Amino acid sequence: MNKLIDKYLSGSSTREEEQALRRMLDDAVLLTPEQRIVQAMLQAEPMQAEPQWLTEDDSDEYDRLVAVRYSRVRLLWRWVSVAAVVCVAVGIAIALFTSHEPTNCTVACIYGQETTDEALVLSMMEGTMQSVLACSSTESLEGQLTDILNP
Amino acid sequence: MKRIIILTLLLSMALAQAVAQKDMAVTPVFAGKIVPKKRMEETLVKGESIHKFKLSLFRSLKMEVSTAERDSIESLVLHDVEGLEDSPEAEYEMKDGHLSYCISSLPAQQKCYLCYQCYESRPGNYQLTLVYIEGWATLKDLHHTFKRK
Repeated sequence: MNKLIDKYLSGSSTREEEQALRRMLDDAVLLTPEQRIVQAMLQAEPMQAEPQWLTEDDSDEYDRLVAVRYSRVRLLWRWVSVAAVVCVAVGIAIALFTSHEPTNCTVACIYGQETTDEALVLSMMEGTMQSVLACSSTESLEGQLTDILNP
Repeated sequence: MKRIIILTLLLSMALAQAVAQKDMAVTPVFAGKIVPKKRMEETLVKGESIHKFKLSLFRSLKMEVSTAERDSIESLVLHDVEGLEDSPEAEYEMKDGHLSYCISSLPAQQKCYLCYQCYESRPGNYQLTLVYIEGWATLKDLHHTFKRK
């Protein structure tokens, strides 16, 4: 018992040794003052059970919980990925659709009557722009000089 | 975090394509929703035939409108050119409190211009011209190209 007490006081005793020492001190009839002090110290420490390490069963439970959470996250990301792919596909389809619009077009619609005579349409275009720009009163001196020098 | 960024970029690209249409206030005018198309002279030219004018798209409407129609179209034009009055690529004139002439560039990747002309042809009726053009011409180029001969 004294050896155990020495080990306990030096802090090198194992849990089993401390429990054995506690039992010895509790069973002893007569205790020295030093033994009483050690008994009191042992009684003050709570009887700690063995550390709760994960057993094989607990590890399975942990894996199951993690798997459930991970599968929910993966399902969410799967749906988000599908939505992103759909959006990109729609965007590509729109781009392809709009690219099929004719690049050359010359048409005039005069009071509901359509004409595609290029010369007539271009003449209308030039006449419209000349009429609109003739309203401008802000032609600069530089512009007038340019027109004179570069007819 | 990386996944969120990548997915956001992909979604943004798709959405950008979907909303790439130019959404201007005057679009209903060109669609014939303010004044029916049978009352207009409409011209649409796009492609190589107008490249010599440094343009890629030309669309114009000429019509005779009532005072109410003039006011509607004028408000739409003013909405589109709002804030651009002091731009070097803009000219406008007012007459009797109404817009009589306007040519203004519009914010876009390619140069776009909106032209507007309105004068009273008969009491209560106005001759209105609305033009939308796209291209790489400057205002100076337009003046030079379409000056009266």
